[in-house]
Amino acid sequence: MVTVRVDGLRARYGGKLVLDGINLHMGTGIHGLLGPNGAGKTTLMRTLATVARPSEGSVELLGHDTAEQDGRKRARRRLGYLPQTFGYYPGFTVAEFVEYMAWLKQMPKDRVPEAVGRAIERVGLADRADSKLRRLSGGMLRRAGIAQAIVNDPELLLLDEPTAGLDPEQRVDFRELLRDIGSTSTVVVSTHLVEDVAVVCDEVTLLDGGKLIFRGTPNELAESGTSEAEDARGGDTALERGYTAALRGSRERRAA
Amino acid sequence: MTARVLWHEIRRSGLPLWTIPLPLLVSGLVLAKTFRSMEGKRFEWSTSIFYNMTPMIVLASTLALAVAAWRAGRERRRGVAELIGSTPRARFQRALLAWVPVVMWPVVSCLPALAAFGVLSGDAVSGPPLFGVLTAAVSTVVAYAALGFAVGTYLPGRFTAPVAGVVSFVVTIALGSRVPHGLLSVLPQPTYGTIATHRTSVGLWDRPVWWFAPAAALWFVALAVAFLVVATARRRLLAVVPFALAVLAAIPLTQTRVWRIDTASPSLNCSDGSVRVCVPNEVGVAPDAVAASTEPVRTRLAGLPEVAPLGAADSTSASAYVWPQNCRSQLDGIECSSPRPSVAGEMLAERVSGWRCPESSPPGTPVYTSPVPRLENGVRDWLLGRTGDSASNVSQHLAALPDEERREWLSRYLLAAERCDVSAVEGLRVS
Repeated sequence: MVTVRVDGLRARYGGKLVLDGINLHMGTGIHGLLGPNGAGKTTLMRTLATVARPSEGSVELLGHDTAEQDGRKRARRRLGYLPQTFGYYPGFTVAEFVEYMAWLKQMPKDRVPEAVGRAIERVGLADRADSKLRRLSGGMLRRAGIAQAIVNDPELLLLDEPTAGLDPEQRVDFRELLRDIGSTSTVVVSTHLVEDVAVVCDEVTLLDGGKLIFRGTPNELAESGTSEAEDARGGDTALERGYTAALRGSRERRAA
Repeated sequence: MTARVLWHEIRRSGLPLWTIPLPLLVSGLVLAKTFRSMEGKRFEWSTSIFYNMTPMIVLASTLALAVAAWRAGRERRRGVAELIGSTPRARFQRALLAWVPVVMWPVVSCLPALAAFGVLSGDAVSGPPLFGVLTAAVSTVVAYAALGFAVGTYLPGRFTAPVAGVVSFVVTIALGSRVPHGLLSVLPQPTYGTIATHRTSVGLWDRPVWWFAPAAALWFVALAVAFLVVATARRRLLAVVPFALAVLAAIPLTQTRVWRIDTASPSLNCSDGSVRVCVPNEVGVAPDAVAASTEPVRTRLAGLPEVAPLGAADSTSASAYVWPQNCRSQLDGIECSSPRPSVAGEMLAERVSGWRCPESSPPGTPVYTSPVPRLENGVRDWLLGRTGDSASNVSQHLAALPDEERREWLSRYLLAAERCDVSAVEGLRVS
């Protein structure tokens, strides 16, 4: 089932075209969004989160057209979003902030207490539920951000750089959480970390210069790369080399 | 659910630290000043509202405006706007949730002072308390908080709140003394008393027309709603409706003389009895309280010839003791020296025993100087029942006289005092 349908998406930021003709269909599973800085990943994530409006094209989330106010509202109830920069109110405790977000997501009130507790437990912050956000480390804050994103059991979960600040053990736990959510929902993870994509994603989308230049499984991306013997500068792993090769190929085509 | 989240906002916002201590301190100082200025006299309600409550309300309003401006920019300052923008909750609901704690704490900070004034007003000299006017005054805090929220929404910078607070305070203070009187009713500040006191002929017992407080409250609340709609609603044009309502309320407030002399106030409310005790309606204390206090004195006066008017403010009340009340208009307010009912007996004894000799006072001395102080004090003491060993000779002498002789003695004395005829008491024996 297609949960994200993007057709002919163009988006401008400060007059500059940052997304150019993106066509994308996603279903249940974990989707990695890769690309160099300025590729348009965050703009695409913001557009999918209905925070940014497209200049052209259409975005349909969970069967709702986000160009319409009612459709946007319905889609928002069923999505979770962790922005690249996670803002929070430092005086709130973890549980209070997650509960506040549950209220913003218009969750049924009888579901909220259990959902808040479950979300906090899933990110491993149960023992810090009553700690104020200002007292948390960077990694804990990131996990609190993930907790608010998943509190409503979203059918579409958008995570922009979710593993930034997490230590290796926490990243392993986080991948496990993603697999769990991705088994029933659509998860889009924007990241710089190719190894995250290799381990956990079912599908990879590669952006460069605002254009979609690759779409396939991590294995397909890895296979598109040169061998280690041919090009050591392409990366240490097959996936990194595939990533580099895809970027180079795209740039060469554009230059030609 | 909303209540729980609101409770988080109220508890975690840190707002009480910012908005409660200063108004409470000012309230305390205002109350202390009021008590000191009373000096044992009775509380004067309208003056206290106008001159003592105003600083507190202005301060609370200014704080509400500054804090609201700060709060409105919170989402953008904290970088939460993007996260919140991805949720379905309406902007207006989110804003209300943030705004309610902002307006709540300044209002709460005013309540102790309001309660204290309310309790004191039970013994006030100027009629029933003007709680409606106070409510209208508190609604200015609401309007200020809404204005601040609108300002903070459009100018979310860090300097917006302090600058808005200072500008608001200066403008509020400046407007209070410069605008035409009619406009004072619709300014976002509770300086309504200025309307009364700026008149050359001050009517202490001026009361607002019945619709004044509701109209003023409507004006401020409608303004608050309009500001909130402008700041938060998707359809900002809807603000036209509350603005129109506010203007409708403002028209009669500016065009009508809302403070009027209360014609019922000077009329007398009298107790029963051979010597009646009358209290002007405006005093707001039951004549029975005064009657009970004066009862021993009036018993001793029973059977004596006409000694009225006793402290008369009303010449038609020839046989009545009229509760004395002296209120004067000062440049900075109205000063009353009406005594407490508990000292009414003493006041009556002084009044009855006193001599009415204004012309006898030499230039440069107080208007009233008793020509026979020993006799006068003695009569006063006897009227008050002070006849023990330490009492004056005159008082002891009066106590020892048979009733008939004492009545004759007192009749001569009172007639002489009424006529200021010293020679008429020269023959009176005092021992």
